[in-house]
Amino acid sequence: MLFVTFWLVVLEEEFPLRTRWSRQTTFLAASLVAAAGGCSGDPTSDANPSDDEPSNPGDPGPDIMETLGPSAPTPVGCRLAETIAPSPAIVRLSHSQYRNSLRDLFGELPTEVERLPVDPRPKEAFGNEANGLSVSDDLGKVYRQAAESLAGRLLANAEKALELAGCATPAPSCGDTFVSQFGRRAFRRPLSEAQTARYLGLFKNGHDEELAVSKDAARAVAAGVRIVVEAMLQSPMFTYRIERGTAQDSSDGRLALDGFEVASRLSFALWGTAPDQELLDEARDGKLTTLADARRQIDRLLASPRALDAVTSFHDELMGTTEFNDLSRDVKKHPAFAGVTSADLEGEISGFVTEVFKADGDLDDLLTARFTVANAKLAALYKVPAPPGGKFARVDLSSKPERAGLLTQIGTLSSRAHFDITSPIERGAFVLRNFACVEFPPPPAGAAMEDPVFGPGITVREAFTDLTKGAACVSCHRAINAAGFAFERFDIVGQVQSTDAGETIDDTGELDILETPIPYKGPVQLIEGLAKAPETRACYVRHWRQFFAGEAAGDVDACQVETLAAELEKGASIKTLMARTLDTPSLLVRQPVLAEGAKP
Amino acid sequence: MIPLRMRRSLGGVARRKFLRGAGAIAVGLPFLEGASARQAQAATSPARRFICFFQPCGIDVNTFWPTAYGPLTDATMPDDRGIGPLRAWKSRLLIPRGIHSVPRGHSREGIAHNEHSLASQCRLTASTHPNATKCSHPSVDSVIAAQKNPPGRPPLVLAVGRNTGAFPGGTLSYDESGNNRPRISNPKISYEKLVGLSTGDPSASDKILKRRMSVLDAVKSDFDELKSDKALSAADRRMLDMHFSGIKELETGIAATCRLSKELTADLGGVVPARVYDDALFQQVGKLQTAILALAIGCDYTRAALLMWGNIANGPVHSWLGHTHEHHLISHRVVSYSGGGVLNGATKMLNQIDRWHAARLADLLALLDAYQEADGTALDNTVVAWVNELSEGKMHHYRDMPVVLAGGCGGYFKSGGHYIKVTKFDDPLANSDKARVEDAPHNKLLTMIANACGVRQPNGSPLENFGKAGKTGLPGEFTELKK
Repeated sequence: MLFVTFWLVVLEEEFPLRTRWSRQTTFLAASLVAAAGGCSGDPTSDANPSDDEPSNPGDPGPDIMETLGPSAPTPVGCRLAETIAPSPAIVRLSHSQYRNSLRDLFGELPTEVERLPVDPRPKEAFGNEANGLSVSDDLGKVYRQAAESLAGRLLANAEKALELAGCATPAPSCGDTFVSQFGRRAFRRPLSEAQTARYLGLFKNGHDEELAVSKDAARAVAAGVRIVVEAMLQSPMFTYRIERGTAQDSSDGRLALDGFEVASRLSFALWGTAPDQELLDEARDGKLTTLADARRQIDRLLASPRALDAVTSFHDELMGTTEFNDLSRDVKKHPAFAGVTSADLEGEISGFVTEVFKADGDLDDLLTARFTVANAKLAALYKVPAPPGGKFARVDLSSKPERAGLLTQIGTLSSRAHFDITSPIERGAFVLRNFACVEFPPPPAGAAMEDPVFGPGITVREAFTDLTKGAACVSCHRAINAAGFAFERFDIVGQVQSTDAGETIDDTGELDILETPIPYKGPVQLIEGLAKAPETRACYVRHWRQFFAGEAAGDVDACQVETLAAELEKGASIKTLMARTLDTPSLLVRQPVLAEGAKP
Repeated sequence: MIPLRMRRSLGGVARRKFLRGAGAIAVGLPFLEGASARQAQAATSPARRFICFFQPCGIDVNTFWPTAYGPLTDATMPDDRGIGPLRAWKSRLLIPRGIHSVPRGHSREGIAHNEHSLASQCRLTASTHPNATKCSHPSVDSVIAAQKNPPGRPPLVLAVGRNTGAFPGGTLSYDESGNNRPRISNPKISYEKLVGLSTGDPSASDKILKRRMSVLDAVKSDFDELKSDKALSAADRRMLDMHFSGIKELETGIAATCRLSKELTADLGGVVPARVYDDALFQQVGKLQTAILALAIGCDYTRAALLMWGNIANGPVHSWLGHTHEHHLISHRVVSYSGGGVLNGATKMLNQIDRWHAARLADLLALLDAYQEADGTALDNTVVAWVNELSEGKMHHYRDMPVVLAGGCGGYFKSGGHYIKVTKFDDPLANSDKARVEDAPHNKLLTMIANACGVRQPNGSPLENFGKAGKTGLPGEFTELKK
């Protein structure tokens, strides 16, 4: 409550004239109402939902959470009834969801998918955020080309077409099983009657025409399969995740999702792809409408190696590994970096995350672990013995007092540097943005974006301090620099350095914009301070909510964040956090987007 | 539970500007725009393309250009100028004057005895190589195709007429490894490459059209069914409308215009592979290749293509212009390669050849302009560069190259129709001043073309200095030619 109010004040004081901000102010004012009633206490403090004081930081208790389902008469605790973020009924598949779905349906990908146009992505959002996803003409074209290409291959491979159709003997009736079974997988739910009739008609046309020409029964089935596949892959039923939901009695307007819709939510969240047979069968059997059912499936999906995809893609996005491509660094001065590729740098991040995840590690491990996963090239940069065979393997770093977790890994550091000097600004802003969810306004209008001035004996730290000392800059750079200078311990390619411009490296400072200031001597102390900070836990949780729900950062429910951050503080592993992030009553419902012009 | 409240009082204005803590992230991110903002995301970058329209053997430098610098008008583009037949397209043209070819320095300043060969190497690469079949840098069409075409799809290199073999390779296109890219001289093969089906069976494309139409029907019904669902908001419906209207135009559009007309399909059927190199078929093959090129660009088969009339150091006998000598002889004003004296009226013939090529360019522009795209026509979104291997053919000059740009590539180039001097010298062809070949190197134009088509460096920024022209090339673009 206090927290939100504070921001309201700041926004009005500092940015009174800018529409962008005032719109946000409206939003914050609206959510203030919800927050006042719902999100100040612990979920278990059901007796006193509007109490400002946390009453019991104990175990939230799954049973109580479960009573918060759609039928709960009096919402308590987080009051999800009021704070659930609205989401649209249709959200286009992200490119990775689209690719994974095709891969699962056909076991292969057409080359056309390499041409998927890059989606615009708001900063701080994950790749599946609903607001970034629409279908342009370019994308529609790729959808068509991919559909034609995959479908065309089926015509050329009647055996595979028959297999897809579930038909041992080619016959016109193969269309019945094919349309219903393949249709259920492609559309992630059974076809409507009209759809069934439509696609059967399409199948029959394709089948009969081919039979008339080639007199080949198998090829005729393949032709039927081909045209149905070509259409289904372009259908909105395939290219969008659709959540219709059913209206409830309650006045909050929430819609209850059916089992198929829940199956899709779970599967896309944890496996990044369409639901498998078991999820679809459970949905068909009327399961997956309670949290207990969902929990069973969450555990199953998380136990599968396929969940690693989600875990590593999440952390890839969090660490910005797309920035690792084609780094141009002064390898004359840093020859050990000469052969290092983005695959090496990404490999370290994903290998390390996998290792932590598999060992049931938590956020603290991600940030402070004294090991990494490196191959021979990276080991050389760390100045540790190469792992056996030079392949990626766990490498102990306990003898390296400068290293701790993700933030001191080679890709993290080398991608945030220039050709021949480090970039404390990029490093600091990255750490604060991605790990403490601190958002900075853009540089003020008059800010001169100049290059730092170097002279004999002037260190990077000195040059950037000088560059950002102006009154307009220092308000933000005080924090950005404070976070970034700790990493001056590392050179442009992520190796430890002891001097810069002939001076001893100064990697001390104090980061004082979080609730608890973090004075530090060296990067590890800063990282340890961040790992302990409540803001860091809340930020990590927030990112998982965004990742799972495709929510915009501003939509993430603050109460959820608090609840889950508390679990992290108690030592919840990444896996547990993932499960708990999904395992909430909001999994089973959708809050529709307000009609335009409607008043809340 | 973490009480996320401020523990400490605010430390002054500077610190208050911070938007700190978890909740603060809402600021600066769209929320109220919400779903309706999704409509605005529709615009993705449209296709930008490059066509190299090549004429061999130089021009008649005295009659080629418009009569005055400045805006192109009917008056400055009279019939008898080389560019005269392009008059109807004047508002879509940009004619830079004074560009010279790089790298240079192969023999004498300004000219080179082997400039024909060098021209083929360097025209689109701004580089050279000791081995005449190779180049030390890929050509600009290859660079565009590598970044903008579907993976593995090279630029389309179409040619009209024979490849004499006098100069190895014989096209201006060099691949990533620096190898000369072969030409496609048979329009049947071009068309098959393009549509991916045999032109021997015209009904095959009808079958594709028919199948696409039934697929589209089914998909449309799914769209309608989904849109009728009450669960969808108005914004959801708008998004589906946008999506569907896109694919509808796409599918029917492709069916209607991504095939040759019946007339041209019949012409194509009449092409005898063994005769595609005959001068007698030069015009017919040229017409087909032009139409196929327009399809390839209009239907976004490729973002980079070449149309080579004749080949390096060789054009046909333009008998339809009344000529009895082949183009190369005319360009040297001689009646034969083994002596025999001066060819009378050669300059006039060159002017006729220039005008004939200008008319062929006008044909291509008209075809491209017929493809309506979201933001203008395919012509608007393409830069067509009419280039030559030489300027003055007789002496193999590589100064003051004839370059005519059309289309503007989505507004990247200056629009409205202009004839602009891009060199500081009054007489760019004069070869007495060494500095004149360090003034307006053509690699700057290649840089512009690549950037106009959206080519980027690995770090995402535009190219700065195309090619490997060494000290004779210059970084940057011709700012005079930008909008």
